[in-house]
Amino acid sequence: MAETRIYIDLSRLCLTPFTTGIQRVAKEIVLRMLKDPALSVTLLADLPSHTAWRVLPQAAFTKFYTEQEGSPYGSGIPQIIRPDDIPSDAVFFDIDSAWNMPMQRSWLFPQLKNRGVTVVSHLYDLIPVTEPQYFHSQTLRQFLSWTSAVLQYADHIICNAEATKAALHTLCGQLELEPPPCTVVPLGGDFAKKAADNGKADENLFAQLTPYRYLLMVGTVEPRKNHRLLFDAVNDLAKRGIKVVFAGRVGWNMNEFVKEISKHPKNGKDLFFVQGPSDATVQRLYQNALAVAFPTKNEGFGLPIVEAFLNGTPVLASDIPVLREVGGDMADYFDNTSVDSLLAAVDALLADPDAYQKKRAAISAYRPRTWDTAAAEMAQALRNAGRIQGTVPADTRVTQMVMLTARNADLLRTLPYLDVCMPFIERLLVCCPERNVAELREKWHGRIQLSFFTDEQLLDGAALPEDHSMRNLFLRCLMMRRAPLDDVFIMTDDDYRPLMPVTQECFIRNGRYQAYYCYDLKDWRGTQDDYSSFDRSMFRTRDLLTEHRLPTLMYASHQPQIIDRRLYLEMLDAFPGIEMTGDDEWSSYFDYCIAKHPDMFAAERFLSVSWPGSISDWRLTVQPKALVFENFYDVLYEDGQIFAGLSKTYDAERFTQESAEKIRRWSAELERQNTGAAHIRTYAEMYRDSRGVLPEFLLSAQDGKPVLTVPELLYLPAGTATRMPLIIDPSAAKPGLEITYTLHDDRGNRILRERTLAPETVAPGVPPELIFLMPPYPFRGILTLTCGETKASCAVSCVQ
Amino acid sequence: MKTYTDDALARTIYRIAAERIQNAGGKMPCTEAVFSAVTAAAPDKVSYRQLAGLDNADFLEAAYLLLLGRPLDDPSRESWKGSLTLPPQELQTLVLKTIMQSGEYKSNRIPLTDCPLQITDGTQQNLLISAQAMPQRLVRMYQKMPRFMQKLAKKAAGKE
Repeated sequence: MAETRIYIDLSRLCLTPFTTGIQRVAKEIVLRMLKDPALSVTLLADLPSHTAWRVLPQAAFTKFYTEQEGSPYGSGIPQIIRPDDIPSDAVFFDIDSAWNMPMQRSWLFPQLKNRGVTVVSHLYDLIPVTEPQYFHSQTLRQFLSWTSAVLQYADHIICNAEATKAALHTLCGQLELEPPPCTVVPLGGDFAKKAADNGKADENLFAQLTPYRYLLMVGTVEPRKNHRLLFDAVNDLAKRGIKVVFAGRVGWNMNEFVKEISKHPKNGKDLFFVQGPSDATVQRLYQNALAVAFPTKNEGFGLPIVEAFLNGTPVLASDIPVLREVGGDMADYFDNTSVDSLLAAVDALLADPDAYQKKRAAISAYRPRTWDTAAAEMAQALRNAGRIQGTVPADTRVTQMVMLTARNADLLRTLPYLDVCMPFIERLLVCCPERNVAELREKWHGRIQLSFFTDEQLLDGAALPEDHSMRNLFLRCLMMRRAPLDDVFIMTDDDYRPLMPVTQECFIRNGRYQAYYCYDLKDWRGTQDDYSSFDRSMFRTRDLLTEHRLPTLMYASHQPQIIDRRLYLEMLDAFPGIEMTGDDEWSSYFDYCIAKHPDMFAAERFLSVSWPGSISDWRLTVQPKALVFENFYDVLYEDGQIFAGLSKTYDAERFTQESAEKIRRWSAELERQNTGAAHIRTYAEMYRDSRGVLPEFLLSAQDGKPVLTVPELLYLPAGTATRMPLIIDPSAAKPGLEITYTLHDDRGNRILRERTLAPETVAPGVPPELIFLMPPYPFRGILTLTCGETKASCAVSCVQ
Repeated sequence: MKTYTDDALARTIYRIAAERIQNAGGKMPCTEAVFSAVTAAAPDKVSYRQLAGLDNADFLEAAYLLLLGRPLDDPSRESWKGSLTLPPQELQTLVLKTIMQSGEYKSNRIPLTDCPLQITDGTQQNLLISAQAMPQRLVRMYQKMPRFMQKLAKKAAGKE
């Protein structure tokens, strides 16, 4: 059985000096999960950019939180993880107070869900939504934002209490939302007895207290805890010979209340406020109290009840569902709005000393639920939610490959690669024009058996759309409905070549179809001054997926992909009329399936060399996971190009060596692009640090005339593609507006062709950009922008 | 059952909490529009487009939250009171300039992107003086340029 991979962000725990409340829960659970052999846990703490994490070394983390030695961050160079490094079959588990984290979940969760990562959130309570008046403004804003992200994206929720689950269902009812699956895992209570601090008990305090003649209230003084009720009862309690002790820190919005305590006539006699008590003081206060009072308005769990019981002390608690859940029959309850109700509960304790002693004896036998149990139940919930093993049947065998082609020469050059490297493929169904069939039959004599389904059979009289992307999708849709396809097959093109032996596991692993993506459609820019059919198809697909609230990854990865025909047909039914829209046939299918059949699919980064064909065609926001396939471009083998000198056709003797060489050259090129991108980021940061703004281009208007503002100096690494936004003030955006730009070196030679950007023609949702495809050599030059009669120039430094 | 966009769900939850807090005699920490803008923010940059549609008071609140990472404090709110009647573009330019020139912002380092407003005072500065204040690497790059390019650069930036 495979381990469930769990990623846990503990940024708050690592920053919090005292592990109380939620951080204490996170610590107790995580320390136990690290020992669970069925889980592979990765602990994370965010980096200053708040867009990535460092991995916390488990040994250092454990040592710090069990022996208080070292640092949870460990020493040495940290491993960095970004959201898209989290595997799609993993679980991202939020057990820390994620609403306080700068990496907002409204930003993070959509990225994780795009790739099918399972998101599980621990919901401690919903009190900021149900009783927002008790919370600091910042906490309230952050919590509401976090709650909306959780309800929108979490696959599973873990609550401490049935009461919290009920509150969740009530909120979902109000929102008319389907509540996410929810598991209730009550917290543990077997805290280590060892005092966390070295303080001594406050003897002066205890000299003024008689054992079993005071009510104790422990915890931070904050409005929700309702210290006020006990405060209002001080005089009546004093008449009964009962004192009141508050122990804790002063929280938000309670300074006035603390002043009231200090001015109370009975302060220091019948009323005590011990601020920041030592653990030893708290322990002794618990043991000698008549009872612990817990008049709170609402709670997520109520650990003070457990702590009171562990000290053998009776509890008088608010009569609210969550406290009844924790306190059961062992606690006594009162109305948290009524002093009389509290006094009646106290009177009941005082009325019969024998009964009181019996109650203490019964409580001393209390054995709390253990953290081991809580952690084991939580781990089980994560395993269940994680769906590590997908539901694609284990005996699924893929033997058919399918392609649409009209180019016999390309297919005949690609077939030997498939024949040798993909031994599990037995048959190739070629969908091609009738006229191509005879030549293919005549010239191919390899292992893979060819069969044919002609365009004429496919179209059955229907007209073929002119546009390339429209034609692609149209034909594939017809193929899914009419061609003799297996239920599961590999879809490929006539120029996708394996670079090494590939097994079926490349396409089905752990019961999941592997779906290879290469971009996020939301980031797709296209070539703004010359959109291709491909660009327009990507924009349409982005809009379709967004409209249907589906993930938006781009799966046109130019490599073979696995298709389940039944699910493809289901997708076609879900988008009526899609056949004629020219959407991307890969992305619409995989994004639909990742969302609708998460148990069957895993999204992985793509595996292709030569995609994009020229590595500087676009920003490589998604890097290939490995280089396994080649998207063959003839031109790349010409002199001066990246694969110059290597064979264009299959050569058995040189295949392994040449494949390794292609991978080496492409990796080096990737590395160069990444280094260039890092240089540009550094330049932009330096520019921002000195100027307060990023080096951006701006078109504004003054007195009706355009004004172009440009960076003082533009730094662009040689051989890279850089796109910089052109920000347009709405007042300058006139119909027919065009901005042209050229780049010359210091000898006056034109470096880049003149490009024209017409903002009106830029696809909706895409910011206008200037595109700089830099030559592979260094130079210094001048960039000139023109808008009507307005010109602006900036110095350009292109460095190696 | 309903489906929501991210923004619509966040706003609906905000309204539920707003109703509750009003019933309890309190008030929300920010308006729904500010809440929406802040919820949609990325952790590493602030896009002007998120702020552009806000009215003056909301723009001020959101700019503080997003660029300085904290709510507008009472003394600052008081000092901005008289400026809230300015035309939006004027107020926005003023707010952004003030924030970006503050030491607090420089330590926060959250970049503002996509901003069509002229918020630098670069045109009044000499490029060389500015360049000296730039980090060393950038200065070296500038110094390596031929003299005619330095001149052109100065001219292009309107500083000669």
